[in-house]
Amino acid sequence: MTFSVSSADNDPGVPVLQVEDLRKSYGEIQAVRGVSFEIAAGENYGLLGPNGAGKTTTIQMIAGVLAAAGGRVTVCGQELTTSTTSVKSHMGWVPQEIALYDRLSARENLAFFGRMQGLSGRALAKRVDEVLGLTALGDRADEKTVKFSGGMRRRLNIGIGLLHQPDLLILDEPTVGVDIQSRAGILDQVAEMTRQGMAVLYTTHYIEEVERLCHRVGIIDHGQLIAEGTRAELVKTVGERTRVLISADGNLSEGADRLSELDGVHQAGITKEGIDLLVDDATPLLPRVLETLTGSGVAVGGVRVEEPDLEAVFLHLTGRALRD
Amino acid sequence: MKTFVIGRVYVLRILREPASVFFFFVFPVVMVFIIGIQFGGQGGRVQLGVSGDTTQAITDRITENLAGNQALELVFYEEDTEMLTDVERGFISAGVVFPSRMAARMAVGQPVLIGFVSAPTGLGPQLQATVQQSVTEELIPYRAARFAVDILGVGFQESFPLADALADQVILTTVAVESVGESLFPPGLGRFDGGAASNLVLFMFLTALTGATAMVTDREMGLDTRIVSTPTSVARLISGYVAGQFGITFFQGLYIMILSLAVFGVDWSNLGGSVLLVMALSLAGAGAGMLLGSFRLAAAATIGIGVTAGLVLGALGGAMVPEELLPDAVRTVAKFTPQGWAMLGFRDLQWGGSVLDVIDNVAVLAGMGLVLAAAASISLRRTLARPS
Repeated sequence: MTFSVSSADNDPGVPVLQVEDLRKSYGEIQAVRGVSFEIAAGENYGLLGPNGAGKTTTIQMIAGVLAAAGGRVTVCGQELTTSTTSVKSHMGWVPQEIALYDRLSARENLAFFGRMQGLSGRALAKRVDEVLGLTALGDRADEKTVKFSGGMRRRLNIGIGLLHQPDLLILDEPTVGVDIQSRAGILDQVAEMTRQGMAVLYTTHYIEEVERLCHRVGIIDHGQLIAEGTRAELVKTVGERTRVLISADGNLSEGADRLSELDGVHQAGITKEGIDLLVDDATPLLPRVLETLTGSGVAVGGVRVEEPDLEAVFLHLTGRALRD
Repeated sequence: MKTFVIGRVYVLRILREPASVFFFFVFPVVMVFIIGIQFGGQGGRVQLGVSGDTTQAITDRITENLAGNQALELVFYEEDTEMLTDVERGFISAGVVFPSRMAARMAVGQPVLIGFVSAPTGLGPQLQATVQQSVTEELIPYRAARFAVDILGVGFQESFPLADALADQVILTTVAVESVGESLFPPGLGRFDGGAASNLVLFMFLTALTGATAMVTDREMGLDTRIVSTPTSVARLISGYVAGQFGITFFQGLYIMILSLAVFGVDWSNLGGSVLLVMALSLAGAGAGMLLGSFRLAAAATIGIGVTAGLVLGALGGAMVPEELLPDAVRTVAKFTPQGWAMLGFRDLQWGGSVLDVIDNVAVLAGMGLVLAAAASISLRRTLARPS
């Protein structure tokens, strides 16, 4: 399978996507507050943040389905405005929800969206067959999608975004609600696309997906890009600190407050499972941690120690766990 | 091209919904049946019941005379009560009851009472006059023979054949009747008095408005935003939706017209003009439906508003009560409704108008459709700009 090489490849100086000071408000709420980043050809850029951080709003403005209140989006050197539609042919947007016609077959769905992208005739038929093969739906191509499993529908949802061989593929939480096998397949596909030269903007709140796929990561919280860089660069911001994940019940708030006062503890945040800590050295600290929690009326179910990762970076930057 | 592609998919997905089979094919047949029963079948002839003793020569003469009237269809009953019930229920317009031994009674000078029943409203008085005239004409020889018996002392059996033979030579004095001023309904149209057209207009607009739910479902599934993420403008998207809904509404309108004409003989006056009106109304309906669908409403609310708006606009536009019976204020309001312009067009055709006479109605309806579609485009752009 081959993908078109972005126009930016012809001019290495021009990134495929440039986002500058992007802004959006809903009434009093500032959903996106001055987000800026760039993506080069063949690069996979992960936009990481918790639910409600502003990822989807940012992506919808970049995809041209939502008008920005301020800022600028440039794709392959062409500025995206509400009145121009031609620049959209450089992009393929895969929304978070599965946007398919239930009563149409996989082939009919692909053909329809291909025509919306301006494809027709033999070129369209060829691309439909290629994408059906890529998404492993060739043998069910003429079945209505209402009969498909969640994983098949999700694969077709992504396939539609690839039909016209875009320079930039925008994937908004593409693995939500997908089984492990389909998820692995989707991640392999995305990795292959970037190897072929496609620029990918990937949003998720799954750390492991970002760590596996993305060359660079932007961490977004409360509508702001609070950090950006490669995984290694971001982890460096945490230092050599270790992450301690404590499964616990009880007065977690008081427990976290008292732990944050301990020497060697840099951050203490509450998660669904219990409390996350960022510490200098976990081994000598653990007895005091357990003692403090017991004294705070917190029942500890288990303790896990992890080396620094992007979850730790997020905790370090925001004081909250990513999946709070 | 994209407009056609979006419209085609709009139609295809609706056709493939299991419930659409009823909505698309069965429901219009029900409409055809209703229109046919009410306005088709008898070509506008008025039904007159006949009961009592109909085996007599004199009753044969009277019923033959009545049957000669092209506007009448005689319905014979075995029982008087059965006929009375049908008159009461409006199944027939009036009824005549013949007593027994009519000729024998007249021969001996006894009075003969022919019963006539009709509903308090409707064509009763006109039918009574028609029946009276037929009876008078056919009783001329009997009355002449009876005159001979009373004045000349000749026997009834001898005088009747002579009087009967001379009856054809009698010149009756008749009253010439001429109507002046404008009548409520056009002459000669019989039972197709606008009812078929009003049912069609009401139904078509209702279905076009309820089609908005398909658009709401698309938006809820994220299909609208996905299409707009391609090099396809919101205006193009709306034009596709309007094209699809236009196709469905126009097909249903034609389907009802042709089926009611073929099966029930419903008279649609000028067929070309009627088809043009149906086409233009379909465009106006599609525009209105898509405007409704562009609002940020759930599917259930959309269908509720669609049905209510369809009925209210139908009432204001004269699709429930003939426009002529509406107060002046409502008639003015009707000028702002698609149903009003469609009904005025159908009325022109019923009065013998040609395609040229309804061109202005067609133009106004098409203009309404385009304006509503443009409004839908603006409204959908605003709806999509809000967070989901």
